[in-house]
Order: sequence, then structure tokens, then C-alpha cells
Amino acid sequence: MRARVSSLWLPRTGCGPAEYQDAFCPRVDGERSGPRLRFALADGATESLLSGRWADLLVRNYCRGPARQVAGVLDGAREIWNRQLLTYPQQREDAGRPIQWFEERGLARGAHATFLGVQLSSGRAGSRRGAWSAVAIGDTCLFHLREGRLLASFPIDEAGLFSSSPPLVSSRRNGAPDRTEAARGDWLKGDTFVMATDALARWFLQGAVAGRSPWSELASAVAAGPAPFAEWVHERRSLREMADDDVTAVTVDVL
Amino acid sequence: MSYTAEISRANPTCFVFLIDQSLSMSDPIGGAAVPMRKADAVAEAINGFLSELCVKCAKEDGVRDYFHVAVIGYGAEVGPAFRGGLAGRWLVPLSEVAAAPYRLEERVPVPVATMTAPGATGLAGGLSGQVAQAIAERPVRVPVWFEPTAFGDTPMRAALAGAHAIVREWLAVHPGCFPPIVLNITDGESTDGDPAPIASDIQELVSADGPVLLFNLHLSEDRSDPIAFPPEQFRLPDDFARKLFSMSSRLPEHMRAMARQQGLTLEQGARGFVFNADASSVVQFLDIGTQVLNVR
Repeated sequence: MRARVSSLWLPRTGCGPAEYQDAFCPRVDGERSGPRLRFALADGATESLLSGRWADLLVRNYCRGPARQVAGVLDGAREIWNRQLLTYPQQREDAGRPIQWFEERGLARGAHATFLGVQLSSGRAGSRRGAWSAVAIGDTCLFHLREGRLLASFPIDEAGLFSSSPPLVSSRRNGAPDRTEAARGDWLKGDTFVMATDALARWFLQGAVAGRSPWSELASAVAAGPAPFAEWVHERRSLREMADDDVTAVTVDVL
Repeated sequence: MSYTAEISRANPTCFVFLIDQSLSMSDPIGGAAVPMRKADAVAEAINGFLSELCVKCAKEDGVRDYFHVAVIGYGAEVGPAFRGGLAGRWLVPLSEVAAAPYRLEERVPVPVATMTAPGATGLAGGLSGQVAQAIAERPVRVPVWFEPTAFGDTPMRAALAGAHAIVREWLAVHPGCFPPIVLNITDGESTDGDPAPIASDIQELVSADGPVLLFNLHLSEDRSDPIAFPPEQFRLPDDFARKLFSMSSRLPEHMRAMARQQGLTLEQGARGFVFNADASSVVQFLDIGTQVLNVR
């Protein structure tokens, strides 16, 4: 199967690219092909330390690692994370920025992020149809679109269901199981999948309920490229239609 | 809708703590696991709160100034209560609070074994479990900014006037902020006049996101149950309690939701007021009374 992926992102107002805490994979836009394609998007939690890096590790481990079940992906990421964390204090010492008291407790508590992973699988040879599956922890959303219609919204399908404390993947296994949700369906050639972090996803679902076609507006904004997309997001924020948070849209068109 | 403004470095808000440091604060507090003076319990709660706030706002590049904080003591005198490098400062950006504790005490955190469920995979077993345990058991440094003090009268009116001046000045520069929150912790009646008019002046200050919030906590040494966040004043035992009630703002909905998460059932109209507070209700008061939404 073939698909074209394009990703656009923007940090919250007043923050630079280094402070952007969403993460997505693959990082490079363009066409992909293969019997199985994976895409992922994660949103690092504001209140935890190194959460942007944790989000990045999660999406890379899902897309680039062996095709494991999500539990294996998350535990594998935790293994890597904790090994890296052992040397982190020394790295900071070497960089002349020793760890401060307020970081010690944050590091011990772990990093946190939402996670959304999407897999598209080929159908039979020559078929125009295949299967998709998705796993999610938290409020990073997947929208499945076909011929201008919204077929599926996962894991949240109502704007009112977003909260300030969504389930998160912790870098520390603290005994509580990951609150993973799963969904699956079929794709047809020409379908589009949009992955969005919470501010954009909420705007999207509010628009859908109001009877607008937010997917058309979003598709135009995405197609216009990074600068017009940023301008479009700024406008939504200034009109208070969209929360001022990191925004990421990953669009996958099935070719 | 009020109390929904996003809090960011571009649009920060402030907390102002007023701490009674009168002589009676050296009396023991009720409900403490080990005997403790009221002044000690309050100092521990304020230091713990500031520490937690710094940790929550810490990023790789340092502590972000989502909040500015003032701690004002009132007893023999009225003034800023920070010690050390922040001595004499009224309202301080959180990054500077984090950078300059008066001292750091080294403590070992709760062992990871007690925090890990049996049978949990990943970090609970094998090499990664040992790694996680090593990380979690590293000693942490616990900051102290504010020392217990108990000397003099209870000039609450002057303390509230100080808070009023700080908040008014703040709002002139940050008119669109999440409304500042003033938290007053006392164990007795004002000795410098009626505090109600200046309390009312504070509550009349507004940002574009709603009126400033003023919450009051009364500390007690007796063992009668605390009265937490009452909606009506007729349940209160005396005029002093009713006075503090009348000086306390209604809790916004998101704070009532936070209280519900802590197992409290609060009625509509519940005030940010605790009477006869014991040691644990001081921590709970700070938890609920400083709850904000939308920190970005």
C-alpha cells in the first residue's frame, strides 16, 4: 500500500521550537509504501519534566521498532528511558548545568505524555481496501475521513469529553495499567486520516457538532503549508476558537 | 465565564499568602501526627506548597514563570516573609523563588518498592526495575524559604492592605490574567481594626477573567472538627467565624471539583474558608484554594 504523510506543528504562543512538547513520527513528509505503515503522535504533559523527549521516544519506538503490541512498545520505551536517565545527571554536570533541586523530584516522578499510534495494513494484492487499527492513551485523536464525511473519531468523539487531566503514559511503571483504548476499521484508497493533539482535536469536534465541515477548513490550512497554517492557528486562538496549546496535525492520505 | 483564563509566561497570575505570626501561633495545633506548633505546621505547609509549585512548573530550561508569589507575615511587624536571598522582596517570579531557597535539606524519598504493585512488569523487575529504583531512591533536596515565627499581635488589617496594594499593582500590568488568589492564614482576631472593609476592597478588584479571590483559614488548637468550606454562616459558632466567612470568596466551580476529588462534598456557594483547621486541613486548604486550570 502507499500513503502520503504530511505534518504541521506549532508551539503555544510565546514558546520557541525547543519548548514544543508534541512529537510525531515519521518526521519527514512524503510518500511511504509497504505492507504495513505506522504513524504516531504524542503530547508531552505540561506538568512533567522531559515530557517532550518522552513523547518523542514513544512515537519513535512505535513506528521504528519491531511490530509489537502496544504494551510491548510502551514497556520497551520505558526500558530505554530509564537507561538514558541513569546517565542524565552526569550529562548535565558535563554540560555545566547540574540538576537543580526542583528537577530531582520531577525526574523521580517520571515523564508523561498522551499517545496515539495508527497502523494501516494492506489488503489482498490489487485490492483498493485494507485495514486500519489504532491505539490511544489520552486525548490525542484520530479522525477517519472519506469523501468529505467523518467516518470515525477516536478515542474522543465529543468536544465536551476533553479534560485537563487526560490519561497519560508514564515513563515509570507505577503499578497502574496503561489506560489503552483501541479501535479498528477498513480504509479505501482516497481516504484521509488526520491525527491531532488536543487543542486542534477539540476545535475539530466542536466544528463537527456545529454542522461546519472542519475537515475541509483544516485540509485547506494544511495544504497551504507551514506559514499559512501557523497564521490560521493564530487566528483560531485569537478568536478563542482554539486553546493556546502546542498544535500538531499529521495527515495521512491513502493513495 | 470567569476563572478560565489560560496561565502562561505571557499571561501569568499571582498568589499572595498572608501568614499570621502572632505569639499565639506558638501554641500547639490540633490533628498533627506529632505534637507541633501552629507556626511550624504553617511553615511546613507553605514551604511544601512552594516546593511543589516549582516542581510542577520546572522544565529542562528551568522553572517557568506561570506564577508570581508573595508571602507576607504579620505579627510584630508586617512585611515579606521570605528569608535569605529573597529577604525584603514582596512579589517574586516563581523562577527566582526556585533559584533562591533559604536552605536545602537533604531527604530520602519514599522507597519505590512501596509504590510498585506486585506483578507489575517493566520497571518492577529485572535490570530496568533496579534502574528505576536507583533513580527513585536518590536523595532529594527539600527547600525552605519561610521559617516559623510567633511574636507580637495580629495586624491583619495591615496585612490585607499590603495584599490589596500588591494585587492592584499586578492587575494594572496584567489585566487579562487568571484572577490573583489571596490566602490568609490566621489563628486569631485582628488587633489593628476591622479587616472586613479592606477584605471587601480586595474582592472588588477584577481582571478580565473575574474577581480576585480571597480565602481565609482559621487555625485551632482544640480538637473540635474543622468546618471546611461552608456555604452558610448560620452553622458557624461565633461572630469571629462569621466575620472571616464574610471576608471569604465563593469557591469557583473548578475548585469545588478538586474538592470532590479529595472526597469533600461541597454545596453550591461554598466559601473559601476553613474554621478550626487542624494540620491536615491547612494542606488541603492550600491544595484546593490554589487550584487553577489551563496552565500552558
